[in-house]
Amino acid sequence: MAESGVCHTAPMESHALPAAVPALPDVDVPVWAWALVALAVVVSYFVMLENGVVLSQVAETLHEFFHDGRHFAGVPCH
Amino acid sequence: MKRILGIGCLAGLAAGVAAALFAATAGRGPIRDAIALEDSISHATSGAHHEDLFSRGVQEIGGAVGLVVLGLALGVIFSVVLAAVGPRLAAFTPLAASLRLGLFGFVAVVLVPFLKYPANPPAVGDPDTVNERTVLYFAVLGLSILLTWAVWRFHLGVSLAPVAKAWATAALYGAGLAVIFLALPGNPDSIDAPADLVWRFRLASLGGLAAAWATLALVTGTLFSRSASTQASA
Repeated sequence: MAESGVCHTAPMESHALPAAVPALPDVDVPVWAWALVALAVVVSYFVMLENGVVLSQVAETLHEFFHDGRHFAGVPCH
Repeated sequence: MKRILGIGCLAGLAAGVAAALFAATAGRGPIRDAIALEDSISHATSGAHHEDLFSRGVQEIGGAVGLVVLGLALGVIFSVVLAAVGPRLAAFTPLAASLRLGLFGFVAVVLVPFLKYPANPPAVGDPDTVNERTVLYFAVLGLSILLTWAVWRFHLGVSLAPVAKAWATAALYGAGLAVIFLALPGNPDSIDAPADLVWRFRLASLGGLAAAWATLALVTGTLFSRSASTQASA
């Protein structure tokens, strides 16, 4: 692609995108991938928002360990 | 699909590192100042120093770890969503599609919640309202994502001339945002910390999150492009 810009003899068509434009892969997202997304959401919850609703004892430890990151991510904090 | 998730993990790690670097540089000063302020207030009111679970150094490392973990989780979500909407974005190159999803994601997940409930440094925040504030934050985040999805479905489904469609889409999104902003109550806490400190922190936070999303979208798009071109040439 980089050469086409400096090639004076190239016809105009060469500036158009090639016929086989690399596209996003055409896949059906399987269920297990969505399950991983759900897991990622749960992990985010524990890092960001756990204030003791789900884990009462461990929560404070988690909360304090991730404290600065939580503030930085804009999550409400004590 | 495994390759897509691999891309998501890599891009998410890069995004988390970008956020952590931003936090370690721009975010460190305001957080330290705010904690010093918090300590001076609690000394003055109760006279007793509360026992810290972790030292400042550990909290700074823990914060960085938290941001990298968040980045990784976000990267997985981002790559799967990009793969899922991929067939709808066939007109774009992978990089262009990824950058668009990144922009919409940043607005929906970061900017809109930030405009309603801006990030606050330590020293701001009443422990008695933390559950209420957490619910409100969840509410604005969920509604913002829901609105973006609904407007996207509208844009795909409605048959109008292109200009009319653009106006209708923008109007729907604007109206939805107005409803969200008006329906949700404001932050219940009063902010007593100096505005200068609060805003230094907020800009660092917003900047770091913008850097993280930009990194995420760029790296994901680049790796998807490379993956697509090696697939095409193979």
